[in-house]
Amino acid sequence: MPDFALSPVEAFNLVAKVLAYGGALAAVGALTFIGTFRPFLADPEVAALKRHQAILMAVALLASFGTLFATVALLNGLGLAGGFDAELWGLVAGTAAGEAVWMRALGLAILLVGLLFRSLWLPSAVLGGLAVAASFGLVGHVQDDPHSGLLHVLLMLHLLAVAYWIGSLWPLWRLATVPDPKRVAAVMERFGQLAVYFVIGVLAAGLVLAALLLEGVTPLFTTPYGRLLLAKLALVGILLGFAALNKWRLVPALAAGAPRMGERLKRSIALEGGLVVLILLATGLLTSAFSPP
Amino acid sequence: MLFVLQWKRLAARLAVLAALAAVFGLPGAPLLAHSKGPKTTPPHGSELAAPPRALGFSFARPVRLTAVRLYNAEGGEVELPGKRSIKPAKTRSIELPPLEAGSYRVEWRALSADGHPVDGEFSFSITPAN
Repeated sequence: MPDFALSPVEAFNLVAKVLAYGGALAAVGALTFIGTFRPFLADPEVAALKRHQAILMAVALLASFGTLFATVALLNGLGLAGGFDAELWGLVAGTAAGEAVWMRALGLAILLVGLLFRSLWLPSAVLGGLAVAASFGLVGHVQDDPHSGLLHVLLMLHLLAVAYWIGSLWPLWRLATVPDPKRVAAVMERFGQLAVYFVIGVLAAGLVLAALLLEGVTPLFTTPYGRLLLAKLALVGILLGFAALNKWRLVPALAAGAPRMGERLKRSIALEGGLVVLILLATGLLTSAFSPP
Repeated sequence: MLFVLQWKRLAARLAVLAALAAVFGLPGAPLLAHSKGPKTTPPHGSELAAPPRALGFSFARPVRLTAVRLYNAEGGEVELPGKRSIKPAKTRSIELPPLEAGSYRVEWRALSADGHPVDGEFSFSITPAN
Protein backbone atom coordinates (compact mmCIF):
# COMPACT_ATOMS: atom_id res chain seq x y z
CA MET A 1 0.00 0.00 0.00
CA PRO A 2 1.28 3.47 -0.72
CA ASP A 3 1.75 5.71 2.27
CA PHE A 4 -0.33 8.57 0.98
CA ALA A 5 -3.87 9.19 2.08
CA LEU A 6 -6.28 11.91 1.17
CA SER A 7 -7.36 14.23 3.97
CA PRO A 8 -11.05 15.23 3.88
CA VAL A 9 -10.10 18.58 2.31
CA GLU A 10 -7.92 16.93 -0.35
CA ALA A 11 -10.66 14.39 -1.12
CA PHE A 12 -13.18 17.25 -1.38
CA ASN A 13 -10.80 19.13 -3.67
CA LEU A 14 -10.34 16.08 -5.90
CA VAL A 15 -14.08 15.44 -6.20
CA ALA A 16 -14.76 19.14 -6.86
CA LYS A 17 -12.05 19.19 -9.55
CA VAL A 18 -13.43 16.11 -11.27
CA LEU A 19 -16.97 17.55 -11.24
CA ALA A 20 -15.71 20.93 -12.47
CA TYR A 21 -13.61 19.38 -15.27
CA GLY A 22 -16.19 16.81 -16.26
CA GLY A 23 -19.25 19.05 -15.89
CA ALA A 24 -17.86 22.04 -17.78
CA LEU A 25 -16.35 20.00 -20.62
CA ALA A 26 -19.40 17.75 -20.94
CA ALA A 27 -21.62 20.87 -21.07
CA VAL A 28 -19.59 22.16 -24.04
CA GLY A 29 -19.89 18.75 -25.71
CA ALA A 30 -23.60 18.44 -24.94
CA LEU A 31 -24.40 21.79 -26.61
CA THR A 32 -22.29 20.77 -29.61
CA PHE A 33 -24.13 17.45 -29.78
CA ILE A 34 -27.57 19.06 -29.60
CA GLY A 35 -26.62 21.54 -32.34
CA THR A 36 -25.01 18.94 -34.60
CA PHE A 37 -27.67 16.25 -34.31
CA ARG A 38 -30.83 18.34 -33.90
CA PRO A 39 -32.21 17.20 -37.32
CA PHE A 40 -32.10 13.60 -36.03
CA LEU A 41 -33.71 14.33 -32.66
CA ALA A 42 -37.36 14.51 -31.60
CA ASP A 43 -38.45 17.58 -29.63
CA PRO A 44 -38.79 15.72 -26.28
CA GLU A 45 -35.26 14.35 -26.78
CA VAL A 46 -33.89 17.85 -27.40
CA ALA A 47 -35.70 19.08 -24.27
CA ALA A 48 -34.18 16.25 -22.19
CA LEU A 49 -30.70 16.95 -23.54
CA LYS A 50 -31.08 20.65 -22.76
CA ARG A 51 -32.09 19.82 -19.18
CA HIS A 52 -29.04 17.55 -18.99
CA GLN A 53 -26.79 20.35 -20.26
CA ALA A 54 -28.27 22.81 -17.74
CA ILE A 55 -27.56 20.36 -14.90
CA LEU A 56 -23.98 19.87 -16.12
CA MET A 57 -23.46 23.63 -16.17
CA ALA A 58 -24.85 24.06 -12.66
CA VAL A 59 -22.67 21.21 -11.36
CA ALA A 60 -19.59 22.67 -13.08
CA LEU A 61 -20.20 26.11 -11.60
CA LEU A 62 -20.82 24.84 -8.07
CA ALA A 63 -17.85 22.46 -8.25
CA SER A 64 -15.59 25.24 -9.52
CA PHE A 65 -16.43 27.30 -6.45
CA GLY A 66 -15.92 24.09 -4.49
CA THR A 67 -12.32 24.00 -5.69
CA LEU A 68 -11.85 27.55 -4.35
CA PHE A 69 -13.44 26.48 -1.06
CA ALA A 70 -10.97 23.58 -0.87
CA THR A 71 -8.04 25.91 -1.65
CA VAL A 72 -9.10 28.24 1.18
CA ALA A 73 -9.43 25.23 3.51
CA LEU A 74 -5.97 23.97 2.46
CA LEU A 75 -4.48 27.39 3.15
CA ASN A 76 -6.14 27.50 6.55
CA GLY A 77 -5.22 24.03 7.73
CA LEU A 78 -8.35 23.65 9.84
CA GLY A 79 -10.06 20.95 7.81
CA LEU A 80 -13.21 21.65 5.83
CA ALA A 81 -14.34 24.19 8.44
CA GLY A 82 -11.38 26.32 7.37
CA GLY A 83 -13.00 26.88 3.98
CA PHE A 84 -15.23 29.66 5.35
CA ASP A 85 -12.41 32.16 6.01
CA ALA A 86 -13.50 35.42 4.35
CA GLU A 87 -10.01 36.95 4.28
CA LEU A 88 -8.57 33.91 2.51
CA TRP A 89 -11.50 33.85 0.05
CA GLY A 90 -10.52 37.39 -0.89
CA LEU A 91 -6.94 36.24 -1.36
CA VAL A 92 -7.76 33.11 -3.39
CA ALA A 93 -10.31 34.92 -5.60
CA GLY A 94 -7.48 37.14 -6.87
CA THR A 95 -5.09 34.28 -7.65
CA ALA A 96 -4.84 32.35 -10.90
CA ALA A 97 -7.18 29.73 -9.36
CA GLY A 98 -9.79 32.44 -8.77
CA GLU A 99 -9.35 33.90 -12.26
CA ALA A 100 -9.77 30.40 -13.71
CA VAL A 101 -13.14 30.05 -11.98
CA TRP A 102 -14.32 33.46 -13.27
CA MET A 103 -13.18 32.50 -16.77
CA ARG A 104 -15.03 29.16 -16.51
CA ALA A 105 -18.15 30.93 -15.23
CA LEU A 106 -17.97 33.25 -18.26
CA GLY A 107 -17.65 30.22 -20.56
CA LEU A 108 -20.67 28.57 -18.91
CA ALA A 109 -22.68 31.81 -19.27
CA ILE A 110 -21.87 31.85 -23.00
CA LEU A 111 -23.00 28.22 -23.25
CA LEU A 112 -26.25 29.24 -21.57
CA VAL A 113 -26.89 31.68 -24.42
CA GLY A 114 -26.57 28.80 -26.90
CA LEU A 115 -28.89 26.72 -24.76
CA LEU A 116 -31.57 29.42 -24.73
CA PHE A 117 -31.27 30.67 -28.32
CA ARG A 118 -31.21 27.91 -30.89
CA SER A 119 -29.74 30.03 -33.67
CA LEU A 120 -26.71 30.93 -31.54
CA TRP A 121 -25.64 27.41 -30.61
CA LEU A 122 -22.53 27.34 -32.83
CA PRO A 123 -20.87 30.65 -31.79
CA SER A 124 -21.91 29.89 -28.23
CA ALA A 125 -20.35 26.41 -28.31
CA VAL A 126 -17.15 27.73 -29.91
CA LEU A 127 -16.68 30.78 -27.66
CA GLY A 128 -17.96 29.07 -24.52
CA GLY A 129 -15.81 26.04 -25.28
CA LEU A 130 -12.72 28.20 -25.75
CA ALA A 131 -13.36 30.06 -22.49
CA VAL A 132 -13.94 26.81 -20.56
CA ALA A 133 -10.83 25.20 -22.07
CA ALA A 134 -8.75 28.32 -21.43
CA SER A 135 -9.86 28.35 -17.79
CA PHE A 136 -8.15 25.01 -17.20
CA GLY A 137 -4.90 26.40 -18.61
CA LEU A 138 -4.84 29.34 -16.20
CA VAL A 139 -3.72 27.07 -13.38
CA GLY A 140 -1.54 24.01 -13.31
CA HIS A 141 1.68 22.77 -14.72
CA VAL A 142 1.43 24.40 -18.16
CA GLN A 143 1.91 27.76 -16.41
CA ASP A 144 5.31 26.86 -15.01
CA ASP A 145 6.77 25.33 -18.16
CA PRO A 146 9.17 27.10 -20.53
CA HIS A 147 6.97 25.99 -23.49
CA SER A 148 3.96 27.64 -21.85
CA GLY A 149 2.49 29.18 -25.05
CA LEU A 150 2.59 25.96 -27.05
CA LEU A 151 1.31 23.98 -24.06
CA HIS A 152 -1.70 26.27 -23.71
CA VAL A 153 -2.66 25.75 -27.35
CA LEU A 154 -2.23 21.97 -27.06
CA LEU A 155 -4.16 21.86 -23.80
CA MET A 156 -7.08 23.77 -25.33
CA LEU A 157 -7.12 21.48 -28.37
CA HIS A 158 -6.97 18.43 -26.10
CA LEU A 159 -9.76 19.71 -23.84
CA LEU A 160 -12.09 20.73 -26.69
CA ALA A 161 -11.73 17.28 -28.23
CA VAL A 162 -12.32 15.68 -24.81
CA ALA A 163 -15.37 17.94 -24.34
CA TYR A 164 -16.98 16.76 -27.55
CA TRP A 165 -16.29 13.12 -26.69
CA ILE A 166 -17.51 13.06 -23.11
CA GLY A 167 -20.36 15.49 -23.76
CA SER A 168 -21.77 13.09 -26.33
CA LEU A 169 -21.75 10.03 -24.08
CA TRP A 170 -24.95 10.72 -22.13
CA PRO A 171 -26.95 11.78 -25.24
CA LEU A 172 -25.77 8.63 -27.05
CA TRP A 173 -26.50 6.47 -24.00
CA ARG A 174 -29.99 7.92 -23.82
CA LEU A 175 -30.61 7.45 -27.55
CA ALA A 176 -29.28 3.88 -27.71
CA THR A 177 -32.57 2.23 -26.74
CA VAL A 178 -34.95 4.59 -28.52
CA PRO A 179 -37.40 2.32 -30.46
CA ASP A 180 -36.18 3.52 -33.85
CA PRO A 181 -32.93 1.62 -34.51
CA LYS A 182 -32.46 3.07 -37.99
CA ARG A 183 -32.48 6.66 -36.69
CA VAL A 184 -30.27 5.74 -33.72
CA ALA A 185 -27.81 3.95 -36.00
CA ALA A 186 -27.70 7.01 -38.27
CA VAL A 187 -26.82 9.26 -35.31
CA MET A 188 -24.22 6.80 -34.04
CA GLU A 189 -22.65 6.38 -37.46
CA ARG A 190 -22.40 10.14 -37.97
CA PHE A 191 -20.97 10.51 -34.47
CA GLY A 192 -18.45 7.76 -35.21
CA GLN A 193 -17.31 9.59 -38.35
CA LEU A 194 -16.80 12.86 -36.47
CA ALA A 195 -15.27 11.12 -33.45
CA VAL A 196 -12.30 9.94 -35.50
CA TYR A 197 -11.09 13.54 -35.77
CA PHE A 198 -11.70 14.23 -32.11
CA VAL A 199 -9.94 11.07 -30.99
CA ILE A 200 -6.94 12.03 -33.11
CA GLY A 201 -7.07 15.51 -31.52
CA VAL A 202 -7.27 14.11 -27.98
CA LEU A 203 -4.40 11.68 -28.52
CA ALA A 204 -2.07 13.88 -30.57
CA ALA A 205 -2.41 16.94 -28.32
CA GLY A 206 -2.34 14.84 -25.13
CA LEU A 207 0.78 12.90 -26.13
CA VAL A 208 2.72 16.03 -27.19
CA LEU A 209 1.63 17.75 -23.96
CA ALA A 210 2.83 14.79 -21.92
CA ALA A 211 6.15 14.62 -23.81
CA LEU A 212 6.80 18.34 -23.24
CA LEU A 213 5.80 18.26 -19.56
CA LEU A 214 7.81 15.11 -18.85
CA GLU A 215 10.80 16.09 -21.01
CA GLY A 216 11.29 12.56 -22.31
CA VAL A 217 10.02 9.02 -21.99
CA THR A 218 12.09 7.80 -19.03
CA PRO A 219 10.24 9.90 -16.40
CA LEU A 220 7.09 8.07 -17.48
CA PHE A 221 8.42 5.03 -15.64
CA THR A 222 10.59 6.59 -12.97
CA THR A 223 8.46 9.35 -11.42
CA PRO A 224 5.11 9.21 -9.58
CA TYR A 225 3.71 11.77 -12.08
CA GLY A 226 4.85 9.66 -15.02
CA ARG A 227 3.43 6.44 -13.59
CA LEU A 228 0.06 8.02 -12.89
CA LEU A 229 0.10 9.42 -16.43
CA LEU A 230 0.84 5.90 -17.67
CA ALA A 231 -2.15 4.58 -15.72
CA LYS A 232 -4.28 7.34 -17.28
CA LEU A 233 -3.01 6.37 -20.75
CA ALA A 234 -3.89 2.74 -20.05
CA LEU A 235 -7.44 3.80 -19.16
CA VAL A 236 -7.60 5.92 -22.34
CA GLY A 237 -6.44 2.87 -24.31
CA ILE A 238 -9.29 0.79 -22.89
CA LEU A 239 -11.73 3.63 -23.59
CA LEU A 240 -10.57 3.65 -27.20
CA GLY A 241 -11.19 -0.10 -27.28
CA PHE A 242 -14.80 0.46 -26.28
CA ALA A 243 -15.18 3.28 -28.80
CA ALA A 244 -13.81 0.99 -31.52
CA LEU A 245 -16.13 -1.81 -30.42
CA ASN A 246 -19.12 0.53 -30.69
CA LYS A 247 -18.09 2.01 -34.03
CA TRP A 248 -17.12 -1.13 -35.86
CA ARG A 249 -19.28 -3.86 -34.29
CA LEU A 250 -22.25 -2.70 -32.24
CA VAL A 251 -23.43 0.23 -34.39
CA PRO A 252 -23.27 -1.74 -37.69
CA ALA A 253 -25.13 -4.59 -35.94
CA LEU A 254 -27.76 -2.09 -34.74
CA ALA A 255 -28.10 -0.68 -38.25
CA ALA A 256 -28.54 -4.23 -39.57
CA GLY A 257 -31.41 -4.76 -37.13
CA ALA A 258 -29.72 -7.27 -34.81
CA PRO A 259 -31.91 -7.92 -31.73
CA ARG A 260 -31.18 -6.28 -28.34
CA MET A 261 -28.26 -4.38 -29.85
CA GLY A 262 -29.54 -1.09 -28.37
CA GLU A 263 -29.18 -2.50 -24.84
CA ARG A 264 -25.66 -3.75 -25.57
CA LEU A 265 -24.70 -0.41 -27.00
CA LYS A 266 -26.14 1.29 -23.94
CA ARG A 267 -24.08 -0.92 -21.60
CA SER A 268 -20.94 -0.30 -23.65
CA ILE A 269 -21.48 3.49 -23.54
CA ALA A 270 -22.13 3.29 -19.78
CA LEU A 271 -18.77 1.49 -19.37
CA GLU A 272 -17.16 4.26 -21.44
CA GLY A 273 -18.71 6.75 -19.01
CA GLY A 274 -17.26 4.85 -16.04
CA LEU A 275 -13.83 4.91 -17.67
CA VAL A 276 -14.16 8.65 -18.28
CA VAL A 277 -14.80 9.16 -14.54
CA LEU A 278 -11.64 7.15 -13.72
CA ILE A 279 -9.65 9.17 -16.29
CA LEU A 280 -10.93 12.43 -14.79
CA LEU A 281 -9.95 11.19 -11.32
CA ALA A 282 -6.45 10.40 -12.59
CA THR A 283 -6.33 13.86 -14.21
CA GLY A 284 -7.48 15.49 -10.96
CA LEU A 285 -4.65 13.76 -9.13
CA LEU A 286 -2.13 14.65 -11.85
CA THR A 287 -3.05 18.32 -11.65
CA SER A 288 -3.09 18.61 -7.87
CA ALA A 289 -1.16 15.92 -6.08
CA PHE A 290 1.79 15.33 -8.36
CA SER A 291 4.24 17.51 -10.24
CA PRO A 292 6.08 16.75 -13.47
CA PRO A 293 9.77 16.05 -12.83
CA MET B 1 -21.51 -12.05 -30.88
CA LEU B 2 -19.75 -14.37 -28.44
CA PHE B 3 -16.51 -12.72 -29.48
CA VAL B 4 -17.98 -9.30 -28.65
CA LEU B 5 -19.12 -10.38 -25.20
CA GLN B 6 -15.75 -11.95 -24.37
CA TRP B 7 -13.99 -8.86 -25.62
CA LYS B 8 -16.16 -6.65 -23.41
CA ARG B 9 -15.55 -8.85 -20.37
CA LEU B 10 -11.81 -8.69 -21.01
CA ALA B 11 -11.97 -4.91 -21.44
CA ALA B 12 -13.94 -4.52 -18.19
CA ARG B 13 -11.31 -6.56 -16.34
CA LEU B 14 -8.53 -4.52 -17.87
CA ALA B 15 -10.30 -1.34 -16.76
CA VAL B 16 -10.49 -2.61 -13.17
CA LEU B 17 -6.81 -3.62 -13.28
CA ALA B 18 -5.77 -0.23 -14.64
CA ALA B 19 -7.79 1.54 -11.96
CA LEU B 20 -6.19 -0.59 -9.25
CA ALA B 21 -2.76 0.10 -10.75
CA ALA B 22 -3.54 3.80 -10.67
CA VAL B 23 -4.48 3.66 -7.01
CA PHE B 24 -2.04 1.13 -5.58
CA GLY B 25 0.86 1.07 -8.02
CA LEU B 26 2.13 4.50 -7.13
CA PRO B 27 4.90 5.14 -4.69
CA GLY B 28 4.10 7.27 -1.68
CA ALA B 29 4.04 10.96 -2.47
CA PRO B 30 3.02 14.06 -0.60
CA LEU B 31 -0.45 15.12 -1.64
CA LEU B 32 0.17 18.82 -1.36
CA ALA B 33 2.64 19.10 -4.17
CA HIS B 34 4.79 22.05 -5.13
CA SER B 35 6.11 22.37 -1.55
CA LYS B 36 9.27 24.40 -1.36
CA GLY B 37 10.44 24.15 2.22
CA PRO B 38 11.59 27.38 3.85
CA LYS B 39 14.58 27.79 6.12
CA THR B 40 13.19 28.07 9.62
CA THR B 41 14.34 29.28 12.96
CA PRO B 42 14.57 27.33 15.08
CA PRO B 43 15.76 24.78 12.50
CA HIS B 44 13.92 21.47 12.27
CA GLY B 45 15.01 19.07 15.02
CA SER B 46 16.95 21.64 17.01
CA GLU B 47 17.38 21.32 20.78
CA LEU B 48 17.38 24.70 22.44
CA ALA B 49 18.70 25.62 25.86
CA ALA B 50 16.38 28.62 26.08
CA PRO B 51 12.90 29.23 24.66
CA PRO B 52 12.89 31.05 21.30
CA ARG B 53 11.15 34.42 21.17
CA ALA B 54 9.92 34.03 17.61
CA LEU B 55 9.51 31.59 14.75
CA GLY B 56 11.36 32.61 11.59
CA PHE B 57 10.54 31.62 7.99
CA SER B 58 12.76 32.35 5.02
CA PHE B 59 11.39 31.35 1.59
CA ALA B 60 13.24 31.40 -1.73
CA ARG B 61 10.46 33.51 -3.30
CA PRO B 62 7.79 35.73 -1.73
CA VAL B 63 4.86 33.72 -0.34
CA ARG B 64 1.73 34.57 1.60
CA LEU B 65 1.91 32.77 4.93
CA THR B 66 -1.72 31.97 5.63
CA ALA B 67 -1.52 29.82 8.77
CA VAL B 68 1.08 29.04 11.43
CA ARG B 69 0.16 26.78 14.34
CA LEU B 70 2.28 25.63 17.26
CA TYR B 71 1.55 22.39 19.13
CA ASN B 72 3.13 21.12 22.37
CA ALA B 73 4.21 17.53 23.03
CA GLU B 74 0.68 16.58 24.13
CA GLY B 75 -0.72 17.88 20.85
CA GLY B 76 -2.35 20.92 22.45
CA GLU B 77 -2.28 24.10 20.36
CA VAL B 78 -0.27 26.97 21.82
CA GLU B 79 -1.97 30.26 21.01
CA LEU B 80 0.25 32.70 19.14
CA PRO B 81 -0.14 36.33 20.18
CA GLY B 82 0.41 38.05 16.80
CA LYS B 83 -2.18 38.79 14.12
CA ARG B 84 -2.13 36.91 10.81
CA SER B 85 -0.61 38.80 7.91
CA ILE B 86 -1.11 37.38 4.42
CA LYS B 87 0.95 39.98 2.57
CA PRO B 88 3.59 38.43 0.27
CA ALA B 89 7.05 38.28 1.85
CA LYS B 90 10.21 36.21 1.58
CA THR B 91 10.85 36.31 5.31
CA ARG B 92 8.43 36.31 8.20
CA SER B 93 8.85 36.34 11.95
CA ILE B 94 6.02 35.08 14.16
CA GLU B 95 6.11 36.23 17.76
CA LEU B 96 5.96 33.47 20.37
CA PRO B 97 4.51 33.50 23.90
CA PRO B 98 6.84 32.35 26.75
CA LEU B 99 7.34 28.62 26.17
CA GLU B 100 7.98 25.96 28.81
CA ALA B 101 10.54 23.19 28.41
CA GLY B 102 9.38 20.40 26.12
CA SER B 103 8.90 19.44 22.49
CA TYR B 104 7.02 21.56 20.01
CA ARG B 105 5.77 21.09 16.48
CA VAL B 106 5.03 23.91 14.04
CA GLU B 107 2.62 23.53 11.12
CA TRP B 108 2.49 26.16 8.41
CA ARG B 109 0.47 26.83 5.28
CA ALA B 110 1.15 29.34 2.53
CA LEU B 111 0.16 30.44 -0.94
CA SER B 112 3.29 30.14 -3.03
CA ALA B 113 4.48 32.68 -5.58
CA ASP B 114 3.05 30.54 -8.42
CA GLY B 115 -0.38 30.41 -6.75
CA HIS B 116 -0.26 26.89 -5.31
CA PRO B 117 -1.11 26.10 -1.68
CA VAL B 118 2.02 24.76 0.03
CA ASP B 119 2.47 23.42 3.52
CA GLY B 120 5.06 22.02 5.87
CA GLU B 121 5.99 21.40 9.45
CA PHE B 122 9.04 21.37 11.67
CA SER B 123 9.75 20.62 15.29
CA PHE B 124 12.12 21.70 18.04
CA SER B 125 12.56 21.06 21.71
CA ILE B 126 13.54 23.20 24.69
CA THR B 127 15.80 21.59 27.27
CA PRO B 128 17.04 23.98 29.98
CA ALA B 129 20.85 23.84 30.41
CA ASN B 130 20.85 23.01 34.16
